[in-house]
Amino acid sequence: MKYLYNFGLNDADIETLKANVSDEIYSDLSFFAKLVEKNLNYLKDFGITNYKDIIVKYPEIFIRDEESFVNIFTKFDKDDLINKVTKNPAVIKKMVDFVDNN
Amino acid sequence: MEKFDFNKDDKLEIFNDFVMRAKSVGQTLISDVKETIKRYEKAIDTNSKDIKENDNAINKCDQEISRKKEEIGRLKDKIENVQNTYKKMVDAYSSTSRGDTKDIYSNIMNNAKVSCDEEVNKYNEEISKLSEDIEQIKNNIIEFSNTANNLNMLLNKNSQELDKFKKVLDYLTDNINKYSNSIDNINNNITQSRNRGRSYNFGYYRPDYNNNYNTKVEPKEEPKKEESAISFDDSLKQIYDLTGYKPKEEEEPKVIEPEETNTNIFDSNLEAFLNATKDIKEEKTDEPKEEIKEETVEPKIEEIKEESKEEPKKEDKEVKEETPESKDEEKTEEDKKEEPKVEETDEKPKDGTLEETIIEDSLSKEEISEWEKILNGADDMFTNLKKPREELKTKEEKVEEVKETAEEPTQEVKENTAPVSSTIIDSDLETLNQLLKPYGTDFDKLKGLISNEIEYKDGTKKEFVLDVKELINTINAIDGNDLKRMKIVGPETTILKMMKQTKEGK
Repeated sequence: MKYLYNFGLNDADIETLKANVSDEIYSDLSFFAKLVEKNLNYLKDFGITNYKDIIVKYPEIFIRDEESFVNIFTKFDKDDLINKVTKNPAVIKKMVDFVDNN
Repeated sequence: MEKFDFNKDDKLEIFNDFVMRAKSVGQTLISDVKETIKRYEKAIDTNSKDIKENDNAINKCDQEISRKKEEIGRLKDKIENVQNTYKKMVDAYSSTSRGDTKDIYSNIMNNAKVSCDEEVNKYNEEISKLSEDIEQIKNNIIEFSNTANNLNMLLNKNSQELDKFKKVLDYLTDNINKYSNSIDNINNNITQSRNRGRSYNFGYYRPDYNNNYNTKVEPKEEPKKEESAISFDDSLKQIYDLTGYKPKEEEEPKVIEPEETNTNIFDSNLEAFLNATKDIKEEKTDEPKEEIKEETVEPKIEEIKEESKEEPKKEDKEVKEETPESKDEEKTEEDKKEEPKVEETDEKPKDGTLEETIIEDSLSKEEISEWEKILNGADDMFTNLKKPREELKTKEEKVEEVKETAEEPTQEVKENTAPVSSTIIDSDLETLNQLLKPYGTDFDKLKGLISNEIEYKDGTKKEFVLDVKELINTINAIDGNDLKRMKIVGPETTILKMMKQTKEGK
């Protein structure tokens, strides 16, 4: 999980993350370290500033193929999405659920 | 193919029968055509008769019509007469009748009128009958003219067909004449040939009448050859007798013999090859033998040396005589160069026989390993062949070794991010990449998504090695649920997660 420190997370964030997720997701996060790194970088480059909150609260959304992850964001208006996700990180979780179920 | 032999008479009879049959067929055709022509001529006659009858009928009708019309004219005249007489009577009685006579005349006039009207009606009825007859006759004329037209058309058709058949008849008669002429010729030829007892040719049919009447594919050509050969020899003898020339018969087999021996030398099997190398010792003149020399230089030089030192054979002398001095010098130089090589070979624990050294030098390692089984009696040979055996370890053995090293990784391997790639076998990797291709990924991509260890919530860490074979097994185990998951999170994540779960024993 050391790689998450590169994205500005601290020990407290990691502890919070640990508390939020199941053992499987946690191990997945460590296993798919490079994939999660790529997806986090994409989110960061996309313009979402509170990506730290997102990874801490909803780390499971990063455990998916890069292409699949990018597809989520291409289906919505970028500025609107950034605005809403910045205001409320839960929006991204709803977005992902919406895309997965449709 | 079947072979048919005919003698002269049979063949001729067959041909004669054929011609006769053709002639009879032609004659029947001609008779048939003639009959049809007759039928057509008859039909044309009947048609023309019918046409004439029709014309006559039409003429009669016309005459009847004219006659009827004359009748009508006469009746009309009668009506006019009756009416005129009545008028005259009326005029006469009207001018003369006065007083009591007037009533009497008026009765007479009325009776006259009635009789006149009756006569007129009677004539008119006759006229109407005649006119009806005329109409009927006219209809008949139309019918007759139609039938006349049809008959004319039929006549034209029949005449055309008649012309055609006449042409056919002409053609057939001409051909039959030709056939009959040819048959006459054949018969003449037959009689002539039978009288003379010779071969015969006729017209367009020119079979090759030699001794036998065989088809082209015939094994009986040999006797012909023999005959020709004998005649050729006889003629040659005659020429030789005339010219006084005596051919050197010994030279011919000499030319053939060396070729045969050479072919034996260049036989591909090993025994022949070894025999050939033996031959090289004895004969060193042929070029191909020099090629073999190059392959077996080391042992040969030794033996040649030994032989030249110990027992100089006549053949070796011959070789020396044949080869130029410069070559000898070169050979000696080569010998000098090759001497250390010979020493090196001596170091090896070989039996030292020529055959075995040749085998080792000429065959591949795998072939040696096969030969080793056969020649297993020699322990030294076996020890020598251990090295290539180690080199020829199968890929599977290597894989097992890789697995062993992977299971017990060194500290250096643990520090590396990708401990897998260095030990993966290419063929398996190719297979894996082929399997991953439909999912739009490959081994390197998958490897680039994961770390080499898995960290758990309780703080434990587990080494993760991306094994190619396990990955292949994982891909082969993909089911419907996995595909559904692939649709959501993608194939790479799904496959890698499957791998992870397999490793975790889930």
